[in-house]
Amino acid sequence: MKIDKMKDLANQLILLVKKDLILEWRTKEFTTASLVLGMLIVVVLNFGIRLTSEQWEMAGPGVLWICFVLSGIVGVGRAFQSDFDNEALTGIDLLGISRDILFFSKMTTCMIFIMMMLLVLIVPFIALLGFNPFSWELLVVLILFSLGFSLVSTLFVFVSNQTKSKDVIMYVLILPVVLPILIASIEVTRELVAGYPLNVTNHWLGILVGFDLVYLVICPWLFGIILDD
Amino acid sequence: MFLIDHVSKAYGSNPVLINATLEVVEGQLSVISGRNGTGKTTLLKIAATLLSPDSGSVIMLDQNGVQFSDQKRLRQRLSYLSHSTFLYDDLTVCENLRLFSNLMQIESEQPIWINLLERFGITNYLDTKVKELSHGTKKKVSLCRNLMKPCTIMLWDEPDSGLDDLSIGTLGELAMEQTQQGKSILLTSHNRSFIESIPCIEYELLDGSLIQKV
Repeated sequence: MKIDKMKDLANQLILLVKKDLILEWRTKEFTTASLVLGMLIVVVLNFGIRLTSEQWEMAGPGVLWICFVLSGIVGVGRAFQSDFDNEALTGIDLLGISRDILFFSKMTTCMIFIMMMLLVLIVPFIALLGFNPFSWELLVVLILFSLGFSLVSTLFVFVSNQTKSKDVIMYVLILPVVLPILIASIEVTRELVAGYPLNVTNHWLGILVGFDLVYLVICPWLFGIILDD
Repeated sequence: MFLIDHVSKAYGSNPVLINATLEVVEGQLSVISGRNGTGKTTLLKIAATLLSPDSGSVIMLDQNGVQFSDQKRLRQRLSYLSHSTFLYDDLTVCENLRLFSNLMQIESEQPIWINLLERFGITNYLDTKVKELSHGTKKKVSLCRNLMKPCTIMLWDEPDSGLDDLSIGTLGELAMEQTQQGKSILLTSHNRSFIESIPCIEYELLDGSLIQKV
């Protein structure tokens, strides 16, 4: 009985994620918004900042992650637009589907988009700025950051959508809340770029994992409350 | 049985509903008429659990006589047609209806929506994206989506708006078929000829209260 119920929930989650991926494939809302902004930031930096490779080791991680966060917020704001048009998500919510399934489907989609964006944006960093942070260990940081960022942004896109100046509100709400994982990601990347191996005892990595867990508990719970309102 | 029990709602200092009470029994079709701005949509949104009343409640009684008013159970047993279509603009008609059908786990050999689309004469739009449809056709697809849902009560907010006369006739037929199957319908409408064409109990929403018309 419980296994059947779990299967049903998993099916609903897959259906909703598949729907989001089809919509993104057709509208390119997330891809266009986030990648264009990300590329523009890299191009502006290319002409605006002239740093030596040693200086990039210091400034690069910060620049990289700030670029990721700004592009991510813009992209996420656009990615959920089709759910708000025609109150389509309300229609799904009215079917009586579990709020957790609704939340985690949106979060999963968001995480897929964010991961793709991060991996794509690293390329112009290497090509234009000559700053190559990529390593398999960085992939772990990217996944952990994407998870935390997706949890927080999924929640706040829905909060900000209920306000008039939603684009501004989204930045005001998301940025302070993701600050701990942003700082932790920058610090871990800086250590990786400097040649230190990624260690499970690394306290920045601990902060990253810890905050992801906190977001994992709080965000779905708040999402249910917001939809009720 | 579906009961809207002494529901009151105000927007700021403007009271819209004052102790509105209405009971819909199994297989009954009830119509709420009234001028613009009298609170018909607000009443239906409260009934659909999309809006919280300031006081009063929405209660449903199941076949075993068990009474409940929690949002989740109410939502599983009602189907709400709003002014919004609840459809994804960039999905086709078929994709939209299949998504909702799969989410509701409706299993049948032939998709239930095919028959509904046939009734409204819009099967040729199956592979058309919703954003490319006219207002009236979107409304028909939205109605099909609404009719697909297994439920005990259907809440329709002006289902006839934007429909041509032929489609309004089909809508009336479908409404009567639903009530014959034991479902209850509560709808709002301004269209006198539509209201008079269906056997129903009519209420008028006047000054925040529901008055049954004789």
